[in-house]
Amino acid sequence: MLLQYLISMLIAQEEWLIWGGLGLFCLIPLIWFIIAILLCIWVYRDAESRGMNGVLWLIIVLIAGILGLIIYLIVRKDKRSSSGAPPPPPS
Amino acid sequence: MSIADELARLFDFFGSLVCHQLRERTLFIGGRYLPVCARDTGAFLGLLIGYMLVFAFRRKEAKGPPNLYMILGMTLPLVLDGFGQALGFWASTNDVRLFTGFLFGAALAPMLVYALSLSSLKDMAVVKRFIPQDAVLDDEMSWLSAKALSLGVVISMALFAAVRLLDGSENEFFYWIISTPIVSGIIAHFFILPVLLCSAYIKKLLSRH
Repeated sequence: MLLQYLISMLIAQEEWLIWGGLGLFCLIPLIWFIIAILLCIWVYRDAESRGMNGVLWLIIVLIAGILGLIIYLIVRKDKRSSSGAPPPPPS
Repeated sequence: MSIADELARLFDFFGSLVCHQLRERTLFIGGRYLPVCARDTGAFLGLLIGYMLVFAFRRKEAKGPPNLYMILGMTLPLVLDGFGQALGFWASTNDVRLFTGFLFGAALAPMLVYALSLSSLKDMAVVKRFIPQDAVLDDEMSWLSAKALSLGVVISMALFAAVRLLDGSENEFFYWIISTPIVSGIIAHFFILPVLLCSAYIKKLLSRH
């Protein structure tokens, strides 16, 4: 009965539900958008540090999203091999 | 209006925040339309499969990401189907949407949990138990193996068959058993997780100063 009352009350507050929902609806994509932008920046910097085309990978991740990120993680070069320097001798 | 109708309306409201809810693309189970479309139904139920895989099969000592080739193979079908349909190459069906959704969700969950180990949330007590403590993206030893993810594909196929069988059924129990994890998934991923991420990040920023 209490649950029914609570749900009825929640549903009855149409205005609250709509405004609250709209608020969350705007906030959540904004947070995910910020996370996506941070991810793109990380991909750009990581690609550049490995001697890859950062702008190209940034665009790919921006367009393809998580799929682009997975492809980047698969194809990205090893940091040590991209520097061109020979590996340090074993100690 | 009965309590079931009111609760279903609340579920529909949560579904409407993340999904178009087109009737022709939504499964009809237990005498009601599910809160989200077939693709999202698959994705949210697939996330549960993925979390179960993480819980049962993660290699605690490994530092590398989940097997990326398997992850790619499981996410690609949904993206291809979605783009193919959006660009007008073909018209997808609810079966294809549901199945590709399952695969996508099952692959996304391990990636999401692994990504948490690189975020500000890694020190949170609940999260700490399930994530690799020293995640290294270049490490060759996968935190979740190809075998474990293959099992995820098999479970996805089984669950897809089960949900497909229930489509059109009139037993209301099945509506609740499927829509409850979906709505919980919406709340967890679209509301709780972003807020936790933000608060952990802000806390980290404040502790620096």
